Amino acid sequence: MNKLTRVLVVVPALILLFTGVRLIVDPAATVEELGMPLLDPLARSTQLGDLTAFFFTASLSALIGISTEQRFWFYPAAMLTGLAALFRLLAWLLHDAALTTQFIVMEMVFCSLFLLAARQIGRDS
Amino acid sequence: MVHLRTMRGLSSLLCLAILGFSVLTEQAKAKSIRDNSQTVRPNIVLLLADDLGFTDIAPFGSEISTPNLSALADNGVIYTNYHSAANCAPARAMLLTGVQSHRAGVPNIPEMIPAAQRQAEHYQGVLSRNVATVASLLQTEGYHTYISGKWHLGHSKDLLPLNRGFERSVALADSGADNWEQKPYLPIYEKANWYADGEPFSLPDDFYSSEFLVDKTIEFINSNKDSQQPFFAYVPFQAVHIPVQAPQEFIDKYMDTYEQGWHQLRQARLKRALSMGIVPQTTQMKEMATTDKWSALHPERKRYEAKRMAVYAAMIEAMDHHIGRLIDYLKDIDQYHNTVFIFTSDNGSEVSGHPNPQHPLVRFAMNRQGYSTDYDNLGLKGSFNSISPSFASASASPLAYYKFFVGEGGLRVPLIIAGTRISAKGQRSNILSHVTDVTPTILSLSDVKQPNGYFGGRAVEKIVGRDLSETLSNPNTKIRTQRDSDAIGYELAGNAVLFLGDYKIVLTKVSPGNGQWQLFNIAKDPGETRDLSSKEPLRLQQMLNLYAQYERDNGILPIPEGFDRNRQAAINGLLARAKLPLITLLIVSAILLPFIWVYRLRKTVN
Repeated sequence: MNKLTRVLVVVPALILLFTGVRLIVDPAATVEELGMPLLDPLARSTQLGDLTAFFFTASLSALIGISTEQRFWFYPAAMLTGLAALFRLLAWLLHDAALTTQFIVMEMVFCSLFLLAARQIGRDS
Repeated sequence: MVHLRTMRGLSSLLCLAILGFSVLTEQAKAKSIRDNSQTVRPNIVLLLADDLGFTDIAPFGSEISTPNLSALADNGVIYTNYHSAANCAPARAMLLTGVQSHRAGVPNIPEMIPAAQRQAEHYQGVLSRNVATVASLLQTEGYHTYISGKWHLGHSKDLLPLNRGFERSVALADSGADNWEQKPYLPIYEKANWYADGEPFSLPDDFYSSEFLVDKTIEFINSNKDSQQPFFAYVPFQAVHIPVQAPQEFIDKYMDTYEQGWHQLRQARLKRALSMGIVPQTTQMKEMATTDKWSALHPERKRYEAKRMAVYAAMIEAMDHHIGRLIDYLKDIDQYHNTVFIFTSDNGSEVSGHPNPQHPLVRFAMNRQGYSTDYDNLGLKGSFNSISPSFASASASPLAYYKFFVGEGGLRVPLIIAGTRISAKGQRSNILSHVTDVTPTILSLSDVKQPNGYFGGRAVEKIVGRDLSETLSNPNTKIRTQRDSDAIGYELAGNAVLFLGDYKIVLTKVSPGNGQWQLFNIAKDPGETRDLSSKEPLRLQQMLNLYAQYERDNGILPIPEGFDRNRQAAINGLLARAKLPLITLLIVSAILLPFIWVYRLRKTVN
């Protein structure tokens, strides 16, 4: 993996990691940035548990991929971000969710970068 | 002819009889209202202004039109020798508990407590669990309890009003906030922290603080209007805390009022206060060192300063207007006659306003916060207004000092207790009264017992304030004497005071104070112009001994050398804001370390 690709995937991995940590350290402010209120205690458990797991899994798998240069580690990160973008679109089409273009674009870019890194490692090896 | 005369006589008698009957009916009706209201427990409406100076409302000698507060004053007793704390949260802690601020865990606002003092449990600046609020005590005895306004006694869920005795609440947890939108007024806050019933709350788009707070109070009362239980409604307004903001229609009324400047206003208010008997005829004033010379100002600056004060007056009148709406609503639902109104301020007038808000550095700092200080929209949405220390002195006229200081201008504020069931009407009380007296008075009026060391299964502090209810029929009944046990001590960040009878000793450590204990007879000299410490050394010593006792009893901690309240607030604010980002950064770094280690190891091996 060349230097440029490495930098390009480190950035989204760090963004995802920071978001995951902030969800646990300062949940009210972080969920607000993601466009939602902090839910009542029962719902909050799922809201924070699932979201934090999403961000940690995506970022940690990308970071393992970068540090070990094993291509398959990028696939969980690419799947999580890519599928998030896909299901956002479906939620908009089927369930009156808002079309959050900025999040969809960002997730698609992240997914593409992770796939690019995986492809490059494959080519190099 | 005789017949005609007899007819005229009879008709006159009939008229007299009808008149007499209607007078008797009215008297009977009024008596019935009074009798009825004495047998049922009263509703209590506690109205708290923020940073309102001693002569800022008409019943205390102000030129500012406050017809609803004047009507309340005509319907009850005004207290001209009433003292609160020198800043916000300690005053609110004492007001709501009847316990001294240090013992209630609020010796200062949390934003200004230095790290060295924060080590102590009672120096957290939030309302301790070892006190019961008046709302808790009333709620236990069947009252509906509501708060709509500034709380500032704790941010965490267990400290918010919902868990301190308020059944319904919409509360601002910070020291202040914008009056037109949900926006912090100081960079030490990330956002304006409003809560409704314990949960974060977003303000409506058409928000104006005084209007909204009264609307919410009406909504809360209305939600239980068919209930047989009385209510306690606490309405701590944002008026007239910085940023000083008001609707244009109120500002327009005062655009020409302050063109003569602060010296003239301070004199005019003294004159009115003297003629109304608010202060004794022996009252003299001193000029504060922080007061600029009005005549030396450029005409443009004079115009600007006059508008700053006009907005301040407008904010007070707007608050009065909305108090009027609340009173009208209570009349509409037939609860007015059974309501006791208490109006006061947390401390004296605010002094933090910059002497020149149009200075480029001030404008730059304000712009970074999203505020403008331009003349044209002063007081409106997006503008940051305040009054300078010079007009603050006029607002506290004829007293010396202002907020944060323990001179009379910082501590002596208006108090009105009014209502149909108060028998003394339109009378003044000149007795020494204190913010800790409000809770025991409310409890007495509501026939609720004071906690005797225990409440809700835990030990609580005993109330130290005195019940003022006797003064509501005989306004000058002394509730405190010259006895040592009747002394009232108070300390804020090294500035100290003790009241005993007509006398007061005072220590103002920082400029413009002189760092020396002074002795004043505030019954004759509320302006604190004649220091009696050298004339009456025995009295001074007796009071110093009592202050030393107060210091021991309340666990007063020394203030660190070189303490500056503004610098401390900036440090505490920055630390509070930087804490979470720093923790986040530390955790992220810790997570990244093994990856960096593996990466470098691979590189070395290859």
